[in-house]
Amino acid sequence: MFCKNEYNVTGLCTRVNCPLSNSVYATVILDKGEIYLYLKYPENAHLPSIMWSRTLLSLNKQTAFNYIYKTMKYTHNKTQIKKCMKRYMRLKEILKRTRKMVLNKQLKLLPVKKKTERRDSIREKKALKAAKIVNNVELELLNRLNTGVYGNLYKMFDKKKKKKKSVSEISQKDMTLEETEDNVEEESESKKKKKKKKDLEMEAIESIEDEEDVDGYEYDEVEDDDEDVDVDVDDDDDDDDDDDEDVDDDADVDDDVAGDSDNDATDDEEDNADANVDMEDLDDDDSDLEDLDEEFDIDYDDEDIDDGEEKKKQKKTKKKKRKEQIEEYVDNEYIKKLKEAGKLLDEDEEIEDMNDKF
Amino acid sequence: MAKAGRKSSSSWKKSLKRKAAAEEIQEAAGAGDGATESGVQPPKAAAFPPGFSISEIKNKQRRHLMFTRWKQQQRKEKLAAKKKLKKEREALGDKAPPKPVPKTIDNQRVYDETTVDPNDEEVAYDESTDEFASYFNKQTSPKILITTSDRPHGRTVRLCEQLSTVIPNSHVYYRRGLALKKIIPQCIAREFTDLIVINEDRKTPNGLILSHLPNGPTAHFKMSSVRLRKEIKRRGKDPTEHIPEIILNNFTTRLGHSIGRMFASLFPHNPQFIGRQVATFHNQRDYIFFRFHRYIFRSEKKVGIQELGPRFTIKLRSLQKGTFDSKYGEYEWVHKPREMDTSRRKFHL
Repeated sequence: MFCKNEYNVTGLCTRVNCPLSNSVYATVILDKGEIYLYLKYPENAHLPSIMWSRTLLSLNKQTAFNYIYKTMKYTHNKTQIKKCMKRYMRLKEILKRTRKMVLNKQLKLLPVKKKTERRDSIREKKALKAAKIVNNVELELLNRLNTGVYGNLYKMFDKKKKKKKSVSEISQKDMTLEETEDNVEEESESKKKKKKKKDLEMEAIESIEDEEDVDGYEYDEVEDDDEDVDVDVDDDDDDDDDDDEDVDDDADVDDDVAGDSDNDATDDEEDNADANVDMEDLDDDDSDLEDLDEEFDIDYDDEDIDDGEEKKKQKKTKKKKRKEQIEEYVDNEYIKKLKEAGKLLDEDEEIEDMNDKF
Repeated sequence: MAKAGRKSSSSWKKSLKRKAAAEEIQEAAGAGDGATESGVQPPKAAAFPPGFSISEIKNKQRRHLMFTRWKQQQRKEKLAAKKKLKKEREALGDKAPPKPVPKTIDNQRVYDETTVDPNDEEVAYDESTDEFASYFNKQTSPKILITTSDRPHGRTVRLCEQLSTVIPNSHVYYRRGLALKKIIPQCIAREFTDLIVINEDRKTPNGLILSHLPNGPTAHFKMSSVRLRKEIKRRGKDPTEHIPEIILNNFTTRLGHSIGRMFASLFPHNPQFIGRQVATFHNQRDYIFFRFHRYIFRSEKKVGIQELGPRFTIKLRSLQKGTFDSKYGEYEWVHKPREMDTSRRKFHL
C-alpha cells in the first residue's frame, strides 16, 4: 500500500508511482534543509550511480515551479509534474514547521523515575518533621523582638520589666522623685497599659540595656540563628540604621538595640525639664499607643477596656496579675486632677516619628 | 473435632515448649560437658552451643517460638539496663555526666567545606559585588512577574494568584505560547527585577523557575506539597497589603547563602512590622519549606502564629549563572541524583 522507496513522489505503491517500474520519473526530495528535484531518464538506466540527476530548487515558489515545469515539460507526464509541485509545497511546509519548533520554546520532557520520586517524597516528609517550622519561626520572631528590631512597637512588654526594676530603684532614690514616678505609673496604667514612662525609662534604661544585651547574647547561642541573622541581618540592620539616623546619638549605643537609642536621645532632652512637664510627653505616647491598639486588637486588660475583647484564658490570667499591680498604683483622683487641668491631651507627634522610622 | 484439634494444638504447643525446655537443658548439659574449661555454668541457663543461631532451627513453629522468647529476653535486658542507668544518674545527682545527645540526621551531617562563616570576608566581599548587591544597597526595589508554563490549569492559576498576594509588587501574566527567552527582554525593558515561572505537570504545579532579571542567576526548583489557601486548616484571614518580613532558616553553605539572597531579594526592603506578616523559607535537609504566617506577641516570651497563604516545599535542581537559558547557560550547580543522593548525611544547601 505504501512504498518504501525513498524516490517515490506520493508514497503510494502503485504502478504509476513506482520509481523502479517507470523508466521516466521525477521526485522532489528534502535533503538537509534543501529541496532538490530528482530526475530519472532511461539513458542512464544501466549506470545506477548517475541514474538519478538532482538539481537544487530555490525556496521561492514561482522560480521553483517554473524550473520544474520547464525541465519536465517535454519528457514527463503532466500529472508527474503536478505531483512534484505538490510535494514541493509539502516540503516547504515541513521546513516552516521545524523552523518554528526550533525557535520557539522546546519543552524538555523529563522522565519521572518512580523510585526517585518515592524516595524524595519520603525524605521530604521526614525533613518536615525534623524542621519544626512553627517552633523555629516563633524562636526567630522572639529573637527579633528581644534584639529590638521592632523598635517602639512592642514597648508594653518591656514595661513589666521596667516597673519591677523601677520599684527597686525607687526605694534607692528621693521621695519626690518617687512620688512623681508613682503618679506617672498610676496615670499611665489607669489609661492604658502601654504608656511610656520616660522618667522610669531614663532610670531603668541602663538596667534594660543590660537585660537586652544579656538576652541578645543568650539568643546568639542558638546555632541556627547565627547563620540566619547574617542573611536577614541585611533587612534588620537597615531598619536599625534608619532608627539610628533619625536620632543623633552617642556612639556607645549598639546598633541592634534601636529602641534604647531613641530613649537616650529623649533622655537628654528631658533631663532639663521638670518631672511634671513630662506629662505632656506621656500624652504623646498615649495617642501613639491608642493607634497601636487599634491596629493590634490586643486588649491590654485594664478596667477601661471592654471585656468583650478578652477571649482567651492566657489573657485572663495575665489580667489577674496586672490587676494586682494596678491596685498598688492606681490613683483616680490624680487622674481627674490632670484631666481638669487639661494636661491629658492627645497629640500626634509620636505617630509621625514612627512613620519616619518605618 | 475442632475442639479436639484445638486441644491437641494447645497441648502440642505445650509439648513443644516442654521439648524446647528439655532441649535447652540437654544442650546446656552438652555444652557444659563439652566446655568444662569455662568453669561453673548454671545447668538450666538457655545456653546454646557456640555457633548456633535460632535461624538454624528447621521447624518454623519452634523457630518462631525461640525467636519470640529471645526477643522478650532482649527487651527485659534493655529495660533493666535503662533502669540501672537511671538509678545511677539519680544517685550521682549533679555530678552525673550530661545526657548523651541522640544522633539525628542533622547532627550527623557530613561537614560541608563550603559552610559560610559569619565573619568570612571573602563571602562578604562577594556578596557586596554580586547581582543582588544593588538590591541590598537599596538601589532597586523588587518588581516581580509571575507566570506559568503554557496552558495552566486551575490549581496553578490559583497558586499564582495567591503568590501574588503574598509577594508585594508582583504581577501575574499568563503565557500564550511565548518562549521564555522572548519574555525576558520584554521584562527587562519594563523594569522587572525577578521572574517566577511555575511549571505545571498533570494539572498540578511541580516546578518553579526563579530568575533574577537584569542578568542574574536562574534557579530551577522542584515543587511539591502545594497547599492552596483553602486547603490549609486553621488558617487566618487573607493576607493584607502590608509588606511582610522574611525569615531565612538554615541556609548555611555558600550555595545556600546565594539562594537565600535570591529569596530575600523578592521582597521589598522595608518590612511593615505593623502588618505582622512573615514569610518563611526554612531549609531542612535540602528541602526548602515556604510558609506565610501572621504573628502576634502575647508576651515577651510567647508568640501566637497563624498560617495564611499558600505553602509549598521546593528543592533546588540547578542554579544557572545568567538569565534563563537551559541549553547554553553556565550552570553553577546542578543536582545529579546518582552522585549526590547516595549519602543520607550529605546536604548541599
